[in-house]
Amino acid sequence: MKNLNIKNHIVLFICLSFIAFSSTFIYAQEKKKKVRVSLHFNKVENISYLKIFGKYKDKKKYKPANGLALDVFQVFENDSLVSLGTINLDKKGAATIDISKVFQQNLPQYDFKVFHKATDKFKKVSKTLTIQMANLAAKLITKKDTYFIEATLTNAQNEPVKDAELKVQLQRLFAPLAVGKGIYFTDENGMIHVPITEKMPGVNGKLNYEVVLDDSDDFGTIKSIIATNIGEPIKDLSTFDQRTMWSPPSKAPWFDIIIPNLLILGIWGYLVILVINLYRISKHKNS
Amino acid sequence: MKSFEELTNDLAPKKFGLYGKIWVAFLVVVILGAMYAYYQQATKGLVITGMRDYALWGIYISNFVFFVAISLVGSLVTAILRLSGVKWATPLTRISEIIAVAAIIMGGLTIIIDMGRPDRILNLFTHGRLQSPIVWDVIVITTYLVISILLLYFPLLPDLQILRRKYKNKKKLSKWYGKFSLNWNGNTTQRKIYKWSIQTLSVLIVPVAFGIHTVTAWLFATTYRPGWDSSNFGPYFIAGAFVAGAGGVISLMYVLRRTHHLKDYITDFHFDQMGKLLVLLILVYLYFNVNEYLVPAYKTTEKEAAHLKELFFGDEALLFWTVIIVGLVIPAVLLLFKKMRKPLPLFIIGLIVVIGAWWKRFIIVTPTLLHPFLPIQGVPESWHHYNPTHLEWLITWGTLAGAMLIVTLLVRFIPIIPIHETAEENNIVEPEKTASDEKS
Amino acid sequence: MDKNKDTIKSRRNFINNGIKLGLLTAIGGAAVAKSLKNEEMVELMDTDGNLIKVPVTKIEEHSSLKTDSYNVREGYPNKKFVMVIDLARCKNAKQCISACNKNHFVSGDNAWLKVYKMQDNPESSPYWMPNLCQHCDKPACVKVCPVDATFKRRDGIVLIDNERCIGCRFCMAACPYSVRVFNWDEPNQGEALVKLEMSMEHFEYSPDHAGVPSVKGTVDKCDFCPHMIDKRELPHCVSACPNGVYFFGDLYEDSVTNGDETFQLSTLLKEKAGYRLMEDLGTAPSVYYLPPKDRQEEFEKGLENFTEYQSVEKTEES
Repeated sequence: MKNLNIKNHIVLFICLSFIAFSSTFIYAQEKKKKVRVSLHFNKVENISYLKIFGKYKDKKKYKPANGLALDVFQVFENDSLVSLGTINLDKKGAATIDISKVFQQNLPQYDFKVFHKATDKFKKVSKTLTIQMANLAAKLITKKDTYFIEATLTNAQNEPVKDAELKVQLQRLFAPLAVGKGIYFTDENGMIHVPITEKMPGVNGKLNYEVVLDDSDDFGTIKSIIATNIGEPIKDLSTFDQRTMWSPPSKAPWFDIIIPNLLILGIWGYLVILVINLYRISKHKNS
Repeated sequence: MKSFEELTNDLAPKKFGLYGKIWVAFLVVVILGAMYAYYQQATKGLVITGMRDYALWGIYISNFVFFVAISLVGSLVTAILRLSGVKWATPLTRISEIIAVAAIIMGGLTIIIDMGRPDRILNLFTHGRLQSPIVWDVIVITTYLVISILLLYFPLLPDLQILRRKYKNKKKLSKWYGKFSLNWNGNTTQRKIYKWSIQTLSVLIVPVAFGIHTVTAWLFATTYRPGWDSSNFGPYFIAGAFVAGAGGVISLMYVLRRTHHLKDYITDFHFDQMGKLLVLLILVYLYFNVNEYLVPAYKTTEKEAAHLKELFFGDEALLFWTVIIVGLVIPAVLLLFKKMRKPLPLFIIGLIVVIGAWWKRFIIVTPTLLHPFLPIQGVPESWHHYNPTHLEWLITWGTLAGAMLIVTLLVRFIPIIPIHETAEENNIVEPEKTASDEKS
Repeated sequence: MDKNKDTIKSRRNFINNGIKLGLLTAIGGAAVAKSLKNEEMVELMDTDGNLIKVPVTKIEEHSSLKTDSYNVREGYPNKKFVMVIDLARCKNAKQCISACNKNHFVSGDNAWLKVYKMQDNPESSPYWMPNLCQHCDKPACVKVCPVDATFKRRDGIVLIDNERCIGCRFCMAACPYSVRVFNWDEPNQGEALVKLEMSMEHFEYSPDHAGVPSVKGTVDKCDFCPHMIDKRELPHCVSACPNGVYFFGDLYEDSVTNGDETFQLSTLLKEKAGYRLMEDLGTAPSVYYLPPKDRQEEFEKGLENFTEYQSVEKTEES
């Protein structure tokens, strides 16, 4: 009887320890942060890349998931994964991966997955993105002395995409400037036809116009750039090269250099003679 | 009529008596205190002053303007009066030049004291911009200093020779006087050079003197600020400078007359003349003041009106009216009476004029800065006012003491009144030189 | 017609050579593509027709606006920076002041950027007016500087070299906008600045990042944030404003943005009657103001934030 009691105690002890340990394990797991990952597909001309953002909540504020490593895969029909690489999120919680080569496969649809198993800090991360191929062809045309931007959006089957919201803008230093209404919708032929009414200035007349399909659910973000020479060449209006009263000393106005120097030379010339006179007085003690 | 020997005895520099020594000791103590205060400033920064971002120029700058103003007396008495053939001023020429040299040296030092980074002063020469009024000011001040020193030195040569002979029994003293007299013996060639040099210096100093104070005035007039943005500033400052300078000469000539017993040389007549000159200069200056203040007051331009209101009726009113009335109007009125032009009353009036001149420059410099175009906001309440700190006053007193020390030391070693010129004008002939003189 | 052919030809060149089109508007030198062997590189062509390699990870990051010939006293060529401040939107939130003070380690009692309580005349409504260095085209401050410590660049920005400044404060006396501050004291700029300096391999002072560090006995002021412009980012005050009050851009590009909205500058100023402060003084400022018409919110709401005697918050460090 006594033996049985001891055995029961030992079993109870082991069970309780197990529960204690596992609860600490579970508790520790609850401390791991959940990362919110967003995947975006971007295509600019011939370069396609995925932009990945990760952030987590820390004391009611979102912080970038700096340092988090993520594996990027392309997913095929049979759920098989092909690794495209591993990326690390930077201090802004962002990372970019070039997937231009993937599109040589010429599939109608591409599925991507980012994944990472749980780490000490973060829970398991898994996110997928499905993108269909689309093509945005944009060009500058002239009709009756007016320039137009013409863009056509077609899908993988070369069918036009109707009613797609396209942004038409001009590249500028800090942010692009909208052309016309800024937003245009494609017609039945998947086309937009935007007149350029304003002659904008550009360095040597160069203007880069952009047509952008911004963050569409099916196609991601596609940007097409049109490099043109139709701008008003900008003129340097600064006075930097001129002689002004606010220039550096080497570029003082002529009158400001000549007149003061003439006055200084004139007066100091006399002062030098006067000092020499002192010397002469000293020398002429016997006259 | 005095003999030559009596003349030289009267006018030779005297050793310090008890009062002289106490005076020098007092000045040295003040200067040492100022050096300590400047050491604090050099290590901690200009934060030890009462200046802040709005009152960014304070008593250092008004002190600087005061020194530049006083230094103009050299050109006034020595040059202008001499060139216009005024003979009575001859005894006062040396006093004026001494004041000029002392003031301009201390003026230069004062402006360095005001700099935030005096260790970078060489930048003025390596990277100086001729477009800046400060660079013009540095150039004219340097030029004026050299001219003033030359104008002090040239007329001193014959006097130094006289003193060399007088002290021929005191070998060392005689030797130094001899060295500095540059072998002057009054021969024809030397006289020719001497005459040409003094004439040239007298002509040269006038435009440079006008230049120095006009350029200093332009430090203010080239800005947009109401109270400074005036085309009147150049002539206004120069007129004020002559007033301050005349007051300075009057004060110093009275003191030196007493301490060196020069009643026979600086007579009541001199005081009377200087008194009349001072009245004239004050009236001219008051004329410029009327132009400077009444014209904008008539117009009520917004920013000007606010500034003038402060001066006439506001925080600055007491100081402003005291300076104008007690410092200028009352002296001018009093000096119309001959009784007031006697030595003692004139000395007191002269002193009041000089003190008034110092405060007038303060009125010109800081109140304008406390009325900027945009309202003063976003800074501590104390920044809306300017109260110089004790250290700032100590440094300022130090510079004034420095100027007085230079004057005192110069007066100790060189004759206050030009001996040879006085002799010439009174036809007192120097006795024939003896053989022993030739040897020394 | 010829223009059209040119554009088509240039595009064909791009594609025919199998070279991918440059994304970036003005790429300079090899600033970005350095010793990153393991990263995939992309070949790009910039607008001047030069080929450069850029790592893909940096494809959205723009390289430094500085070229090899960049001279801090001359600035960026072919640019003239301007700012537009919409007084109708300003509510005295003062986020601009906080951002500026923080990023330039402003430590004194006077901020470089302040929001003034203004009232032009007794009958009109009072309004909030942000005031900063106007980077004038005919700057009174630059004219009077005796040692060429403050200077006007080709791109319109006026900077201060605080290793040259002699602390005479003439520029402060000359400036009618009261935007310059003086370091009367040893600046107590805190640990953040020390960290910043240590984080750079080779820290060297440059006038185009004002306040890093500030120097006792010299003058400081707003610098239009060239260190942000270099990254093609907007100055701190512009990004920090929650009400979109500040617009910044290049006059030669005729475009200004507040981060969310971008406008053609000439149209904006014409339609909203943009003006400049104290125009009649002839300083030709680079900052335009849009009148406080059709205010978005009552002036009085801004009074909660108004601190008449303070513009720099003191942290525990100072």
